[in-house]
Amino acid sequence: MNSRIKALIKKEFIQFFRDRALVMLVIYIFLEIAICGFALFMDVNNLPTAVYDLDKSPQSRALIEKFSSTENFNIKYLIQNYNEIDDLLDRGKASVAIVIPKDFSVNILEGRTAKVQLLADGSNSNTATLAIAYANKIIRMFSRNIELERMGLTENNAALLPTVNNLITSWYEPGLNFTHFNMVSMVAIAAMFTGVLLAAGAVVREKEVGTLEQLMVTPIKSYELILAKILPMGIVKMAGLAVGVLIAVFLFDVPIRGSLILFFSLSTLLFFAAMGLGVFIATISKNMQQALLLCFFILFPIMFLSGTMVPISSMPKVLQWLSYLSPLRHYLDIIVGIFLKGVGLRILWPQVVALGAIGLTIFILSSIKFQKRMG
Amino acid sequence: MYISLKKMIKKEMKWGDRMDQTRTYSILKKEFYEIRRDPYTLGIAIVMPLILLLLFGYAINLDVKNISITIFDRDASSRSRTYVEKISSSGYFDLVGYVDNYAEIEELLDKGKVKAAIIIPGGFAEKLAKGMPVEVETIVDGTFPPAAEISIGYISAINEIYSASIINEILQKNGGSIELSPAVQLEERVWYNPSLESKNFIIPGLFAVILMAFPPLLSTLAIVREREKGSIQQIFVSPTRPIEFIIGKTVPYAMIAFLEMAIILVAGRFWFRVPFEGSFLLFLLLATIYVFCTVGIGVLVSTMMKSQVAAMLLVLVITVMPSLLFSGFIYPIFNMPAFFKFYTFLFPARYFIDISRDILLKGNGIVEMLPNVVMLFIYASAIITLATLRFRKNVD
Repeated sequence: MNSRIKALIKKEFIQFFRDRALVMLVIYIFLEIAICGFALFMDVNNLPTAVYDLDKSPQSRALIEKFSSTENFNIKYLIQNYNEIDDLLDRGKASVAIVIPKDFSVNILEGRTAKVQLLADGSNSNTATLAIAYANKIIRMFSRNIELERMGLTENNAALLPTVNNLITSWYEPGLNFTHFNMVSMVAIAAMFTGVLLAAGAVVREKEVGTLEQLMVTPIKSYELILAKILPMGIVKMAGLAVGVLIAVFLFDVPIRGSLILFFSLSTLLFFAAMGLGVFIATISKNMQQALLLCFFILFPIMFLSGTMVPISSMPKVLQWLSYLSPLRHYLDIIVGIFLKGVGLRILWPQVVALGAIGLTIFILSSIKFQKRMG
Repeated sequence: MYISLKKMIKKEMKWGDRMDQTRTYSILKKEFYEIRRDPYTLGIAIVMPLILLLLFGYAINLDVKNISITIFDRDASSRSRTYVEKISSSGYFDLVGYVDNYAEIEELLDKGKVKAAIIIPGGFAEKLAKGMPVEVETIVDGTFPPAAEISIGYISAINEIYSASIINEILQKNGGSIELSPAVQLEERVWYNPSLESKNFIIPGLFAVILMAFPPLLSTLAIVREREKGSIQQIFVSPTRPIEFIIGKTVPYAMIAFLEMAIILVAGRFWFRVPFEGSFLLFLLLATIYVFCTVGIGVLVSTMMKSQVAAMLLVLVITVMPSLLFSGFIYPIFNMPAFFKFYTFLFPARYFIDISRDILLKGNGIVEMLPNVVMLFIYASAIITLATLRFRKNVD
């Protein structure tokens, strides 16, 4: 039996590595995904901003100065009338417009509440929400200084007031750098996608060509066949994963707080689940088109219910429950845990068990299905 | 794009015999027959966008609410309890429970059971009563920074309001009173999507993503499959011209694409109640041009790849991934470094996402969107010309 598997594995290796373009593409996907770290940010910086200052007073200029001194707002347009705001927002040239009304400085000087208007383009709801939050923060600081002045206090003796002050520490990611999370989640997505697609593709191809039947009539067991199929791909994917990790660590300073050995060994669990899923999809589909469509059909929910793109905690409850079925969810916890949090098996064991269970279930299911289909 | 197609057809006519409509028609018929024979694929191609729509509509919720927190109350006074009450009643936090030491906090954060921990120092009530400031420590899980930043914002705001109320309390006790109205206030007004719902932002963008994901995939596979099987050679030696072959191969998938679009448009409009402010006709027209782009990319890929798996992976790399990541669909383009801003111009999803949001949410006409419309037009012409040229070369 041993030599049988060996021969089979050898054949799979030759077959897989013959398609150079494919091997390159797999590695490239890990590369490209890592490159996303350069470009993708969820936080909002350099927001194109228009300012309409009707007051033109030292106070209004001071406020504008506050806005332009942050990284968040990039004041691109100083405009002279309301119509321009319409135009800039309609064309998407500016995402927010700040309007300082005529009585701004008068209100401040006479101790009333001065108002500042912020017009935000809500068609990007995420950007708009963040922009409003940033603007509120700036205005609050600006306002606080004036309030202190009104009470006859300076910044120094204000610190002696009975107030509740913030002492905020961010664990794991002190600089709140989104790139680090982005990197590890992209690597996780790449591992999942390539796993399912490659396995499904390889099995369906043999099916289409008809060589699968020839293999089935040999005394090879179906699980042996599946294992032999996924082994070479697993090796290429491991190489891809290593490329992804190298880029993440050396180009983007993603910390490795936990054990790399643990990470790579737990990654095999994900590969196992992903490729098992690919084989399963291949056995139930008739041709490549079907198989690939089915892959996407299954991969998208797996991706969106994993927390890689948006946190699971902000989803509706039903989707939160469903997310436990997504192997990527558990893998993301593992990869974030090992790289960013630096935790080990003591904390991660529930995820490891879940991922293993999902992988094993899929593998058994696809072995059975495989046998039935072919037998 | 129509013009370039016409030119190409004219060229074809000059080259040899006339473009034969019956030949195109018979390839069309064959392709339709193959699709019909495989209702499974058709079914997935149609159900899939709906699933995507539901997923995106419900799962991609970028609003941060119900942040799970734990509290380590080292003061355990009535004052600290009212402070905790303020936090838990704010609606932003979901108080998972209290802890008694730092080790427990570490454990909960490590396991991801809570996203933040608030530590109320000993002497909290005493110090405030004496008129001294106190520091409340907050530890946030920074692994997902956007959420962490929002938590920090909420906590800071709560602390500020709480501080103001304490100062007011003391002032009132001493008989004095001071008006604590803010000196400057922000009045925000949100245009186009006043309720700031994620779905109104996501779904118009999703049209672009779905039309980018499936039509190129299906048309590439349809062509590469014939190449893998070798049946493409038979077609090449027949009098069928490349352009006839391409039209015959792609029109069915373009039609499926439109069907997909119609479904998500209807579902988005009536299930998710996404607004549709602009002209439907304009949207349809520009969507058609966009579909030409996406199918054109599919044909181009099919000329470069030999196996279906490799073709599919390449399609994934140049269509699905950029349309999700480098198009402004989720990650804003103005935030990207200059090089990647330029990179986004290479993928047509970027133009169509803007167009789609502009028409649906802003109700823009063609004038406001002119740069995007022109780019889309140029893109479609270029990609179709390129695909046909490459295809012809492949044949020779």
